[in-house]
Amino acid sequence: MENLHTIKSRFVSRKVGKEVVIVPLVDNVAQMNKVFTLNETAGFLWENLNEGITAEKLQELLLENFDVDAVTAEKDVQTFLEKINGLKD
Amino acid sequence: MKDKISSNPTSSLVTELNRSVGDLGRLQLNIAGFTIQLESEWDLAFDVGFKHFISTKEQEPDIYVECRKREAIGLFKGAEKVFTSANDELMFYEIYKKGDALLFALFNQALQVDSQSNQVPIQQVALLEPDLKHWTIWSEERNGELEPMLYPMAPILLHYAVLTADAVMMHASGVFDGEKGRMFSGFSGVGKSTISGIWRDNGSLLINDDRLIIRRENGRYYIYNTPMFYEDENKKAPLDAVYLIRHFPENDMEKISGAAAVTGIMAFSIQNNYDRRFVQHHIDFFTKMCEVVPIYRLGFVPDKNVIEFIKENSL
Repeated sequence: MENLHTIKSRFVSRKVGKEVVIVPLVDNVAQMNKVFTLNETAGFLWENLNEGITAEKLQELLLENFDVDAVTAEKDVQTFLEKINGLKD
Repeated sequence: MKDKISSNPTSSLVTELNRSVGDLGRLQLNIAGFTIQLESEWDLAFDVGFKHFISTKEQEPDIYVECRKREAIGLFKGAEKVFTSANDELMFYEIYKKGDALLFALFNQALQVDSQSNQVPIQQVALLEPDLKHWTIWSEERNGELEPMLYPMAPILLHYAVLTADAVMMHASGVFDGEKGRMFSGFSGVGKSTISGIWRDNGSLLINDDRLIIRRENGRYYIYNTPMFYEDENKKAPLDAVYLIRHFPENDMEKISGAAAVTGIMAFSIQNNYDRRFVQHHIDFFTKMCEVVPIYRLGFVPDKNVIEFIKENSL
C-alpha cells in the first residue's frame, strides 16, 4: 500500500473555511467535473495526511480533537481512506 | 470575408504603430488590463473585434509576443504532448511540453482533414516561455501581413495571462446598471445571453454575453470583456454579485457560500487543467473572491421581472 501522505499528490486542494475542496488529477489532468468537498472531520484528516502518517495515528488525532469514541474514529478513518482512494479513478 | 484591421500604414488605425525600434514594428493591445506587446518585422492584421483593444498609449508590457512567419524549424522534436483541446467534431489545439516551455499547435478549423496525412492542417505554432509571459507565435504570411491573434490564439494567450495575475477567465455574461456589476454563469444553454440581454434591454451596459475575465484590483473585483469576432468597446465594470443560473418555472434564488460557492463558480472557469499549478491558481482565486463577492444560485423566468426580483433579493 502506498504511503498515505502521497495520496495528496494526486489532488489539488484548498481549505475553504472549515471544509476542504479537493480536485482529483488523472494522468496529471484535473477532473473539474469531479470536484469534492470534505466536511470538517474529513478535512481534518486530509490536513494531517503528512509524511510518516499512519491510519492508527489518524485515529489518535481524531480521538484527541473530536468528540468521538475509538470505534467511531477507526470507522471514520477507514471510510475516509477508502473514499479518497476511490476518487482517483 | 472577415473584416480586418491591418497594421499596414494605409489603415488609419495604425498610424500609431511604433516603428522606433529598428525595423521591428511594435503594437500594444490592452485586454482586461493586460498590456500585451506584439513585435514583428511584418505588418500585423487583426479581426475587427480587436479594434478597441489596440492601445494608443504605450505602457509597460505585462505580456510580450514576438510574431514570426511560419517556417519549418523542427520545434516539436522531442516535445511531449500534455493536452488536447477538441470536441467530437473538431480539433482546436494541442499543447506540448518542451523542457520547461510550452508549445502550442493550433489547427485550422476551416480546412478539412488532409486525406493523405490524415491530419488537420496547422494554422499557427506558438511557444510560451516558463515565465508564462513571453510568447513567440509563428503565423502564415498573407500579402506581407501576419495575423498573430487568429482565433483561437487570443483566448489561449489570455488563458495564460490570467495565471500571471490575480485573474481568471470565465464562461459568463456580465452587466452593469450604473451602480452594480453582476455576472451570470452556467453551462451552455442555461440562459447567460438571455438574462444579460434582458438587463441590456432595460438600460444596463452589457459587458459581454459569453466570456469575461475577472480581476482582483486593490481588494475589489472587476469584470472585463475580451475581443470577440464582432466589434465592441473595451469594457470594465465592478463585480458585486455572481449568479449561477438556470431556467426555472419561477424566479428563485439562494445564496451559497464556502466550498459550495467555490466549487459552484469554479466549474465555469476557462482553463487548461493539465498542470496542478493552474488548478491551484483558480481554486485559490475563487476561494478569496467568494469571501468578498456574494454568490447566488438563480432559477429564472426569462422576462424583465427577473431584474426586480434580483434587486429585491440580492444586490
